[in-house]
Amino acid sequence: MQCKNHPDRRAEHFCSSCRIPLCADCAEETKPGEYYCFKCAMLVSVSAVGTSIKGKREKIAEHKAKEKKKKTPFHYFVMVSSVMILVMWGVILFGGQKAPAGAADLGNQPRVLLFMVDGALKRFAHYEGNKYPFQLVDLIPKYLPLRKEDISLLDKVNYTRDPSVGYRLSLAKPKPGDMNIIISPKGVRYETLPGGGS
Amino acid sequence: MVVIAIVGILAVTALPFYQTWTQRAYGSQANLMMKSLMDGQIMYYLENNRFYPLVGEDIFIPYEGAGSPSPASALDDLERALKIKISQSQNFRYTIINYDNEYCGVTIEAPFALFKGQPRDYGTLVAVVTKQGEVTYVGP
Repeated sequence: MQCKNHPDRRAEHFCSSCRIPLCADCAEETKPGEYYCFKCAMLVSVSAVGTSIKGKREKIAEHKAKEKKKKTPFHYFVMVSSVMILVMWGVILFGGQKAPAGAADLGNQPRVLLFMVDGALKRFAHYEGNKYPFQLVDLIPKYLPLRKEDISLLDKVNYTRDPSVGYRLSLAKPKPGDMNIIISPKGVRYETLPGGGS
Repeated sequence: MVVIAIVGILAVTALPFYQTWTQRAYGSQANLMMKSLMDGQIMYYLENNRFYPLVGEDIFIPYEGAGSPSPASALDDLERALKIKISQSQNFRYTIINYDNEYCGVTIEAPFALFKGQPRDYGTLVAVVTKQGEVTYVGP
């Protein structure tokens, strides 16, 4: 087979693109073992340049996108602040100290309520110059921390100011059969109620 | 604008966060102190067949700077009798009352909430121990 460009020469290669026979002078070896005619070699080289330009553009676009994604100090500030706010609200809503386990419900423990009120009266007297309040509500909230909804619990306690001893405190409705406790600054006195008692 | 908004939210959140944090810290301290007092009273009763102090000799330990304890030797006596160390502090004041050696009531108060549900400027923990050794804590 003869070279397409030089009919007097023997073809030694074929163009990898257009398949025409080429002599050793006409064959352009672009890569080892890959031969092209002059035209196709030009086309291949132009196309390679185009590909590389395209690749460069893509790389630039990628780099720009990365730049955009890169965190600025503002981003870090927003993220850290958000986490702090969330944690703080978590602590505020769920982190408060709970009362000791098994804390008594004052409604069901009138005797405990009685001691609590008596303690408040004694503190009132101690810190207010040996005076006693006119009514138990005066103890709230400084000496007796009852919530608004619990103020009615004071109805379970009888309180009377007594000039001779200071005050008398007892349960308004002791359980039938129980001994009533009457507390005054002088001490505790037990009174057996009608219906028995221990 | 966003930065100002975030700083504003942080500032608004910081105060209740601080209050909750102190409540948590001092609430648990009050719990521990009350437990020690109750254990001390039970041990004292087992050894002496009565609570500490004597009936009618109530103990008042006010806040630091708000007067001296009543009686004056209360802190040393408590340490000796109940084997616990109590000192006057700006955070807690104590009241210990012996009811005829049948019951003993202990109150710990603080100028801030100690537990959830207590007013912001007053916290309290009350416990009553009976001569049978039953301890009742009063919920806030």
